[in-house]
Amino acid sequence: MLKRKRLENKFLLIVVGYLLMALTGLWFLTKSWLPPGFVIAGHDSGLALASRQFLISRLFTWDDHINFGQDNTLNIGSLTLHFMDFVLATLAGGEVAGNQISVFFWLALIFSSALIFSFTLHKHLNKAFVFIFPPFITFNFYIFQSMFMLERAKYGLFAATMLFAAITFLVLERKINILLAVLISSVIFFIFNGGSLWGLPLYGGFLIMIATIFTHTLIWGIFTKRVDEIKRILVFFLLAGFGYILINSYAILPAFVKFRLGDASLLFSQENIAPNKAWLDYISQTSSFINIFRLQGIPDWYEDQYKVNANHPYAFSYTTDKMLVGISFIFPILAFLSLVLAKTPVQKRLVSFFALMVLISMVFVSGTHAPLGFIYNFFYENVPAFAIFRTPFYKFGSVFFFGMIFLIAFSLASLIYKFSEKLVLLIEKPRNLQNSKKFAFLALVLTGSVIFSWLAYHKVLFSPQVFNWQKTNTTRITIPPYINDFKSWSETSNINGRILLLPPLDEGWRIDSYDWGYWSLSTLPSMLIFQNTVANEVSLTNQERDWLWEIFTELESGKEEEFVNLAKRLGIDFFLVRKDVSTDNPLFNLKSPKGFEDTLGSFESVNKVAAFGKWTVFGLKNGHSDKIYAAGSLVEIPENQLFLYRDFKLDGSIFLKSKRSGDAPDDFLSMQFKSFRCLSCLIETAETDTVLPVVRILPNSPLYALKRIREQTELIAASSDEEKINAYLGFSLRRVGEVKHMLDFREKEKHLVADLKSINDYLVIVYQILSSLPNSTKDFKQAKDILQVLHPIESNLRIEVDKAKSGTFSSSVISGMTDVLWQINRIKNLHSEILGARERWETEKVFGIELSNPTDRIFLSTSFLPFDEDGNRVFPTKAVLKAGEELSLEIIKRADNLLELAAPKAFLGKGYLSIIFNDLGNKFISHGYSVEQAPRGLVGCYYGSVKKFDRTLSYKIKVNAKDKDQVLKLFIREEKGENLPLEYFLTGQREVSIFPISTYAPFEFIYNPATNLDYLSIYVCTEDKELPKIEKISVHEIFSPYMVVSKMKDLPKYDPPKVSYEKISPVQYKVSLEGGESPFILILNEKFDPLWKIKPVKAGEGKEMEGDYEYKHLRIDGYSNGWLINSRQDNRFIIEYLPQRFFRLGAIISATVLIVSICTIIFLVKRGKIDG
Amino acid sequence: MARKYFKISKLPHYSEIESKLLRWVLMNRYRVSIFFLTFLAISFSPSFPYINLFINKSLLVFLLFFFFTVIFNLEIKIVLFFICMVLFLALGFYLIGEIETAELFGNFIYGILFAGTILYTIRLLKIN
Repeated sequence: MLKRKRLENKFLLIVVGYLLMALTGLWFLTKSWLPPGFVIAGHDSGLALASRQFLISRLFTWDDHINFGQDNTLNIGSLTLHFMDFVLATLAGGEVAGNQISVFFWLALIFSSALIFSFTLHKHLNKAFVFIFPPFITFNFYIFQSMFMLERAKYGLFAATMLFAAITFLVLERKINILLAVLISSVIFFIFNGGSLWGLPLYGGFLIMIATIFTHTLIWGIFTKRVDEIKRILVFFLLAGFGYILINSYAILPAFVKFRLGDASLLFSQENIAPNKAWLDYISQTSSFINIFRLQGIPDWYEDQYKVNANHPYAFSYTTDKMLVGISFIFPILAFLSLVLAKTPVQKRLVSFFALMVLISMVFVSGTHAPLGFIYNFFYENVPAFAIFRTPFYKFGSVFFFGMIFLIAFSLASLIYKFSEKLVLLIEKPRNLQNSKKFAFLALVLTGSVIFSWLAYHKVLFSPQVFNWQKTNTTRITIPPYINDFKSWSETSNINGRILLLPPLDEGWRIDSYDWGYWSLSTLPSMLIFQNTVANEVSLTNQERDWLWEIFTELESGKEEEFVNLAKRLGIDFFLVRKDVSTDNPLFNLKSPKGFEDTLGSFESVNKVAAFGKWTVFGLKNGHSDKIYAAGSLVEIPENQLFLYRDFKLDGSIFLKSKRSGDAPDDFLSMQFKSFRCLSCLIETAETDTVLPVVRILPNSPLYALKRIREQTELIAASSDEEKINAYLGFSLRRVGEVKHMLDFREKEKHLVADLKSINDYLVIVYQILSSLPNSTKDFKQAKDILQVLHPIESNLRIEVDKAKSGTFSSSVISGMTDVLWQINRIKNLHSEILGARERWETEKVFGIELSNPTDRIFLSTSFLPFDEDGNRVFPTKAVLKAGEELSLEIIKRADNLLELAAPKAFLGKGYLSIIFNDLGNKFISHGYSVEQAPRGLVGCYYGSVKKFDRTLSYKIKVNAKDKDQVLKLFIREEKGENLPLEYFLTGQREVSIFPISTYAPFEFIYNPATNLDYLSIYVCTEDKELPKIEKISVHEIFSPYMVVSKMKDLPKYDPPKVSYEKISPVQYKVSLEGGESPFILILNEKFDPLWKIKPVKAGEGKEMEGDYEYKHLRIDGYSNGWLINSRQDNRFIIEYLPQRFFRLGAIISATVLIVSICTIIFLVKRGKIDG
Repeated sequence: MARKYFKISKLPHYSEIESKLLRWVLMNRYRVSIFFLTFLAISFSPSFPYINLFINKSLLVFLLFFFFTVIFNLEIKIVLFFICMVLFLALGFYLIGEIETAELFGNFIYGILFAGTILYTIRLLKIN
């Protein structure tokens, strides 16, 4: 017994020595990766350059240093992670979270946790396993796939999973009492909790492990009649889950409140997550079983299902090098060889468990990839909240790699023992083989060789390439000294207002990218300083983005007064011009920083505050903007039409009216704007596709009755005439799809005739409903819907009727088809006024407007009018209002972007307003004919370019042919910067067949440019050297203007009080009011959130009492918070962000549970009450 | 391992093989019949309407080998031997760029391994 104990201690010493040796190795490895001066920053890492400030920000449920502020409730859980970032950065002697010590810590954590796990099992497995498992689990492509962003949340949870597995096996073996196991688990998951609530999907792998352990134990327990095991594991899991919730209350409680009271639950709803299905399929495309078995299939490695990503730093070698590929095929053999090599019952049970865990997890790791992708699809579409797992490989990969590496390490360890035994037995016959020195030496050498081979196979993971997320892009960067100078300046300067980042980010990518290597969705200044920086980045709402777009436009156009007013409105006091942004990167359309610097320098009300290398700070000369202020009135404008603010030069607070905003208090509105969209524009842009829906169940199927029943249900649910029309049109389209299928497959004619009769009946009903509707003939939307449904029906049936002339079908089928075509004609005739001559709507724009007050005025914003070929705005020449009688309106220019349409006499009620343009001009400049080299050979072309091309607009291209007997193709050559090399010409361009060609009407094509184009050329080519016979090509902008009706209101002049405030924290403000009168609106210039609350502070008996939250909460300027204060009983208020209260409560619970847990663990260990 | 298991150190006489094979077929006649029926059902299932909406080529391979392993109650050693063979083939296809075919072999491996591991666990449970 004593000898055994001594041997145990000796082995423990060896393991500790091994750990120290490995940690030393890791230290030098990380040192070689990140020598002094190098850090990891950027991409998706969240690695702050100011870890202390970042940690502080995690103590509040509102983060007021990014853009217009943002909710932080769901990020609170990353408190422990950022605490570690801070501690490790401090140890590294700086504030940068992505430092060498940090990288070392996380790798060391994985290694140590793996060693603890393997040591826990060493009595059942063998000693070689203890040494092989940790390096294998630390160095593999799953862990290193995210090394470039040092995915601490994943690493922490991975380590916690292994430790939890070790504890669970101890619980099952009764080597630890359940209370101690629960407490240790809770503490582990307090520290490594997956980061924040956004890290929840990282628990995917962990949940699979828990489910497998439980199921395995349950089946095992039932078959072997060991009910106590089931009980123990059930109690342990339940208590551990309870412990997890209690100890993480600080993160869970405020998040729960946010879900219950706020709108964050939308983030997890199926409606919002379902669109991610395409991403899910993309991620899963390379996760085939053969790839996963080989410990590969990492989505980053591939461009598509089979094409390797040439931009990946090392994927190419591991997928094409014959030797490396060959080695990867050994892994599954090694892993499942363990099932044969397991000898003892415990070994067999462990191996069977891990093998099942691997195979079950593979179903999830492979996501929607065949053959079992339908299972994941089912979960994704039907299990609530499962849609958070939209990147299956990354979220479930942890448990797969854990299991596979366990099995591989077990097999190798067993083989090493077997081989060593055989070799030793060849030399001598020792009494105790396992204690033989020769055996130990041989096992040691073989273990070392195995570890070395594994590391050699993964040799690329030892180079700094692991920080490359593309061949030439890395997160391993050196930060220029002026960045730190700027940081120091920001810490010592009194900066209250927001800092606007210039030049704006590229609108397509919204990436902050610098020529020295930083590249991230998080802007560099937001990761660097604690002052409030604003940029047009991904997290902004549409309204915030619109405001920033306005301020950028004012700055670019050099309008100083408008720019300064807008800056003050948005709380922006400073402007940071960064001249080191990646203007040379062809991916981005970045505007020149120099232009912004020059414009700001020329403004009198802006001065240069400081300059740091390539960064210059400008500031407003006259004071800073107030975060809290009062307003006496509001102007209401429709949501998404912020341009009215500019056109009408509105300087008061704005209420953006939308469905979700509710109504503004009517007695506060000084002005109201109502906008009307162009109705006829719907027809101009209506796409007339000829594609029929795919139908799977045809009338000859026994399941067809079910389809009919479903349609009847749809019909019963349709309550309005519009819904009924849509339903019948939808059914007609589906029936035509069936007819087309049946014709193709030559099905029995009786089904065809029946289907055609159904279509005919549906269309008769549609005609009857339409005829009975008042104003139906002027309903543009209805006309568009009808056009879009009837067009494919008509065009497909026409083709079939033409084919039928050859005598293929019976007369009843042909008659059925012609009846349908006749009904279509009748319906179209109902809308002949709209659909008759569609080209009319290019120059005539119709609006349905409503005037309710004699003082209402009609305006047209010219911002949406087109430009002619000379770059001049095209204005309407005539405006006509039709409302019973026809009134001609006078067109008067009121401001830069504003035309007023004045009626000769007052008009009230509803009517149709038409504005008519004479000519939109032709932006096509012909360059004549040419013969071009195309992939098929030489082709004759007629070509030209588009003058004053603007990529933000849509264009209509018309081609008039002289001769209809020619085969023509339209090529749209999209160019960015300089012209493409000639070899790319006519390949990969936008290509459209010009069909059918007619000489009486032009061929039309609507073109929507890509976001990063500069020039556009148009080619019309034949299929050979014959030149095309073209009469004319014309190009004009497609435009859809807004008509605006303004309503002025005579309001009593409220004098709002003077507001003073004190910022207690990012989540709390104390407000005092002085003078003025009520009612008024108190505005907090932070992003609107329903959980921002205001309450009065009332003088109580000897102490201050807080009142109730009783004021109406409004969204002001489309993004900030406002409260309607009706009565002035109170002069002092508190504005606070509600989730903070729950964070405080949760933090008390967490701290208490943590302290109690640690004390109990110490007590139990000291008293030796460990065993279960 | 294969050599040891199948005892193919020397080539047996054809009559010996024939009698062994016949004996095996006779002993496993029910299994052979069940597998034959399952094989037919699974193989022809993509030809039937509606079922072909769910069963594709990859799933077919997976199901065939899953049922093969279960019906013949294959020992884990045989399963492993098969896997080695198939992996070798898959490697060949992978190296010549026929990755889709290699993937198909991967599905087969998964099917047979899944069934094999479940059988292994069931046998363990029986022993315990």
